[in-house]
Amino acid sequence: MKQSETITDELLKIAPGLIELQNKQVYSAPEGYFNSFSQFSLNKINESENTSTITLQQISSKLPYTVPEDYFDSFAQKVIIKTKKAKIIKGQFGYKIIKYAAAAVVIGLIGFFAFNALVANKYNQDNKVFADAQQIIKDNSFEQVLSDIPESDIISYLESNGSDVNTAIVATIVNKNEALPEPDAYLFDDNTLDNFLADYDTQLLN
Amino acid sequence: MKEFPNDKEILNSFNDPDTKEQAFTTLIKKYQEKTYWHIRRMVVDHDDANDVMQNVFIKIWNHLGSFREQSQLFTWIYRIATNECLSFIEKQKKRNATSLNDVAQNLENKIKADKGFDANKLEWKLQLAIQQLPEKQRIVFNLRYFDEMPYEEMSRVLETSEGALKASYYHAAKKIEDFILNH
Repeated sequence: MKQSETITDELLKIAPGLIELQNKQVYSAPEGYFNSFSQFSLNKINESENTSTITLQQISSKLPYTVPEDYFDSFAQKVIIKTKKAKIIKGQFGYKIIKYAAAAVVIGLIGFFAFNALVANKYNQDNKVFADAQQIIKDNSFEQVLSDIPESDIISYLESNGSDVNTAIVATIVNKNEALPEPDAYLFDDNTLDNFLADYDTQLLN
Repeated sequence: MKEFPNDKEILNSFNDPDTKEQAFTTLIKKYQEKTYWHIRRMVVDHDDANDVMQNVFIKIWNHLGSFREQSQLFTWIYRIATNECLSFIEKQKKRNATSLNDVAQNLENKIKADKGFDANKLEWKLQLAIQQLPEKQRIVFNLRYFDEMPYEEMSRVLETSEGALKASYYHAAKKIEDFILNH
């Protein structure tokens, strides 16, 4: 049995009213549509393929961004000027750091003598130093004591106790606890404290 | 009727860079009309049908090289065309945020806007009735009623079981007959 006969039989059972309407085409395509469609399709395909190629070629050579006129001519000079400014500011900041470092030195000395005195049970030997330290704390006379300490002593102390001084500086200069790195950060990166100080240094420069 | 090379010959020519375009032209000429009417019955409007046709044949161009001949070429083309019709309708729905009823109304309006439309003619009533069906039922009805496609082949085109297709066609034909009788 032909396929058309099968379908007619099927319709006869389901919806006989539709048999007479089968194969009546109501729509029409524009004249010549099927003669030109294949060429039209090929043109479209070639067009889209050429467009893709051109776009890719352009991406590699043409960027949509622009830089201000003469930007590259003057860039090197600007960087050199910035570098010089930074050195001057850093010098001023360095003076502040020495002040804080000195405070750390005093605290370190107090701690050092107090620890030695306690551990070695040398209360008598170092009694004077310990008493002096207590007096400094009591009088809150850091500024006065600092001004009397020679800069060479401070530098020498910093060279031998650098990391302790760093910690003392951080504790002294940072007022907000939330500005400090998270405790976990020290576990993941050994340079956390150095990085923090470098950032802090940059912030002050700005 | 014009004679065309068989599908195997077309595919071989398509895979040769020197004859690729010529083979593709032959393929289009061989299958364009059946594909067009399948699409046109689904989207109604010629301009929409033309858009879908272009997408279908661009997809064929892009993927014909990897066609594995596990199915007949025309079954494969029909599947692409059907999926393109469904995506086109889906996009229209999203664009207009329309419900199924709105889609049917939209298609009905397009039918009535056709220059050959005649409300008194049964064949136009049939077209109005078809547009009331859900999309997949509409495809099944069109493939069976107009294209006389065997269920076995339709099953490969729509990736649906023959039993489900038969049930779908039965419901579609019943609904259409009721619509024509009552309008």
